[in-house]
Amino acid sequence: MRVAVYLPLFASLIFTVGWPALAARRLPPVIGAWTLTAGAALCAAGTVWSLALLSATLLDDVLPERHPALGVVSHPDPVNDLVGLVAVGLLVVGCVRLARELHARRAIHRDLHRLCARREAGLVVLADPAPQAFAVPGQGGHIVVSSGMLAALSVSERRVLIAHERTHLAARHHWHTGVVRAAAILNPLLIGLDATSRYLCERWADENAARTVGDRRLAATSLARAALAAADTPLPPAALAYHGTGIGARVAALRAPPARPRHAVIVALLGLVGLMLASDVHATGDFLRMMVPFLQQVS
Amino acid sequence: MPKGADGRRAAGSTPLRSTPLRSTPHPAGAGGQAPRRGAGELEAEVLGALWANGSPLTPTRLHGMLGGDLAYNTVHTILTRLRDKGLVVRTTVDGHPAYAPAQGAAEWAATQMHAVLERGGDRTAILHQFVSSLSPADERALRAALSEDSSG
Repeated sequence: MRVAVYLPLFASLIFTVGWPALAARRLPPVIGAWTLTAGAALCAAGTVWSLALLSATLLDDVLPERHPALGVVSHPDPVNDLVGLVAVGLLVVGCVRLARELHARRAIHRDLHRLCARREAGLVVLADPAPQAFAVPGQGGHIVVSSGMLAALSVSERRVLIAHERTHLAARHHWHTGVVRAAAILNPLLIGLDATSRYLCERWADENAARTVGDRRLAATSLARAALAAADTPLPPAALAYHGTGIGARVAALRAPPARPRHAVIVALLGLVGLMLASDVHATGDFLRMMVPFLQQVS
Repeated sequence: MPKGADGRRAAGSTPLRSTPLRSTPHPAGAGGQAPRRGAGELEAEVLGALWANGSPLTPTRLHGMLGGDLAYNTVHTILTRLRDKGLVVRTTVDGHPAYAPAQGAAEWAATQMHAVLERGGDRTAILHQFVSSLSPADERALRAALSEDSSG
């Protein structure tokens, strides 16, 4: 319990630092995004469980050393009480932040739906010279494109854009980024994965769009032209100045040959996640060994 | 804001989901036909072309712009459907029927969208945007890539 309970925290750290460097650029984005989502969720679950175990070690402090009915109570005290208190604090803060995030997300999706549901086509055009495009998920989904973006692209480049956004909707990328975001809220060590997840979903949509139009070069050109058109227009309101990652890297990836799955990378990743789960199981066993006698004595 | 339409489910969203995404495997660089596209995709293409053009288009010219793999009748059908949905309007060019995008609907959508996105601090962060802000180095690299493509 002294070591094992902290291993999931350690594994999260390795995952955050090592995973994007190791895998993000060397795997096909579909595999990259899925392993990232699953890994982040497991890291968060492992850490939350560790924190729950640490919090539960405070149980024995509920009773005084001498209880009128029980006599002398033996206190296992497997970890320092201060650690237990910090764990409780982290859990509470994480849950509150997660609830607020979910609330905010639901609010924006409701607003966007109210707007999109009035358009009886998958495409919602905004009369706006600032080039922008994004997907609004849910109920079949909508693609929102500004007239500025449509004007900046040629017929075949627009086809890439539409295919890209449709991939976001069909592959439910909002779930991927949402799960990673939630994991990062519960386990702040994972905060760096937020941007990686968004990047990988974009890459996934880029690759799928390239496959749909049957031309990677065209997909790269479309992306470059859209990005430059957006850069040439004065910035839209502050809310739209969104700091995303790596248009340059996305264009370069489309101009390079497609990545192939590397089994060694995937095996290394699975090993890391396995280590983390094993350490949690181990810590749980330790916890039960120490605390169950105490609880039996009390009840 | 008219309230009646809010609860109405978007009919156009159904084909969007049901259309297979990885439609037809397409040999890269074979220069053959583009893969078949679903109804939602075609509507988006026609609407996109009308918006990009800036002036009304006759179905014939639109058909020419969209490339040879679409039948003229298909273009016509899509235009009729978009008109029924109030997304395009019919006018005339030199006595021929022509179509233009409905400005009012898009202006309304733009205003609403600005309002929605400005309401909170970081609301765009959860949307999957096609492009985001560019670093100066990225911008130089992209310009070089585009000019290389157009010259090559």
